[in-house]
Amino acid sequence: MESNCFVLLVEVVNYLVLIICVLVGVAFVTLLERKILGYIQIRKGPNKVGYMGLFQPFSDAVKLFSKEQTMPIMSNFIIYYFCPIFSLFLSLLVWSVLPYDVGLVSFNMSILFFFCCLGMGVYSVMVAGWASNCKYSLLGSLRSVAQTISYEVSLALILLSFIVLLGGFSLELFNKYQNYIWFMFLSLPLSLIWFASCLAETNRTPFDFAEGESELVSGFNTEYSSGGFALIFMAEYSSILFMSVLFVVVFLGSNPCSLVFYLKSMFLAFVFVWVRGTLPRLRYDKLMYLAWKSFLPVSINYLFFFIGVKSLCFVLNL
Amino acid sequence: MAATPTQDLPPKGGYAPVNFTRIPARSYFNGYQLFAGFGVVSAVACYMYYKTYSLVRREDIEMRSGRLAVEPLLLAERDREFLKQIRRNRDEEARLMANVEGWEVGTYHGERIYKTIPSERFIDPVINEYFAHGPSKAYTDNAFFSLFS
Repeated sequence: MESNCFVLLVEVVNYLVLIICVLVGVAFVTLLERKILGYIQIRKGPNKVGYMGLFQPFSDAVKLFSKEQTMPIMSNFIIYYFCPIFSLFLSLLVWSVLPYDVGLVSFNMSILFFFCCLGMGVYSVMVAGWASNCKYSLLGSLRSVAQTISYEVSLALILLSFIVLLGGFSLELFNKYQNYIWFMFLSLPLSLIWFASCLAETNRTPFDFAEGESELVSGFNTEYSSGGFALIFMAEYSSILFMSVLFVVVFLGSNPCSLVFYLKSMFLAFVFVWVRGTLPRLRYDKLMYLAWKSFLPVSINYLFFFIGVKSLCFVLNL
Repeated sequence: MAATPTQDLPPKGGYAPVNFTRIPARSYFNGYQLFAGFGVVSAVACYMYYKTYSLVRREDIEMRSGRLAVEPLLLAERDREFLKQIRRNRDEEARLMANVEGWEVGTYHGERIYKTIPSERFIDPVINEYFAHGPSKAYTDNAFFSLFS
């Protein structure tokens, strides 16, 4: 029993250290995004605050958390207040599925847990928009919810294809099955669809209807001032980092105990920001058609293909 | 008051004509070649997946075989320890109840515990009886496993 308690303590401490590193990473990803967007737009990003702008996240944090926390009178304040906390909680909770060899919890069903967290994330956006009691927020959140649940379907089917290939629901199996070749070579279209679905899940351009910066006032976070706004965007950037890490785990040969893994993840985060600076927003009906008429058929066809591949391998190995 | 102000005028004779015709990007492969490349890469990757699957299956079989080979050994060890503990329980009971009149070890005041089965058959003791004479920590460590699985 003591050894069980000790192992639990070690796992919890590891997870807390991971969360602290993620939060520091989130802070600097905001700076990364602004610098990259600046250079894409032939200007420099923030470079005044520290050396090359390195202290910008800290000054942003100080500004945001020292501003007044507004309370819209006609809003439903309890859930209005609670939604950013909930979305940050989910974005940080989902980091526990990373397939480390030792230390973190070793989930048998990491993929299902990831999907549960993703599904619950829809609620936080929807309720945040509704509870603000503002028509722009409501519209932004409803569009975002429709888009998120549409792209979740193709995400689920892609992961289902890999579940068929791996024979289990654990992310650690990705490590085992990618030791000769990455899955990206096996399924390049799937990796592109996965990346696009990740962009849609995290409400990033070209799918950023939740914010909709020039159509709606500010989308679902119109009524959120300093604290709630900061938490919502920390949740979003934490999701971005996690999606880039997950892309590396699924497609680019995962082994979180190597340095190259983190370099690849950072490259993916760079690609997230690059896409934001390069592509315009899709029209809403085109976005929906893309999800249901383009990504979904490809995902389903790849599912059948992989079922065939797995059956063939099974038969040949008998 | 400056001299005659200079104006930014077009050069004499006007500007040269601007070439605004499209310059399409140079493409090295046409669609068919790209698709063929995609097919080749996918086929090679499927073959590599087959190798990986064979390896994983071989490793799983080896682990399973090892566990199955060791299992009788482990079961025998567990049974030996179980019987030793039961013997220790019996000896302890004999020692405790030595001065009680009419007490036969293994019965309750002379009455058999299981009445309908023949007395030669051995029934496993309940967990409370098994751990009765030791430290209570031994019981609490094992209670959940015994009672709920």
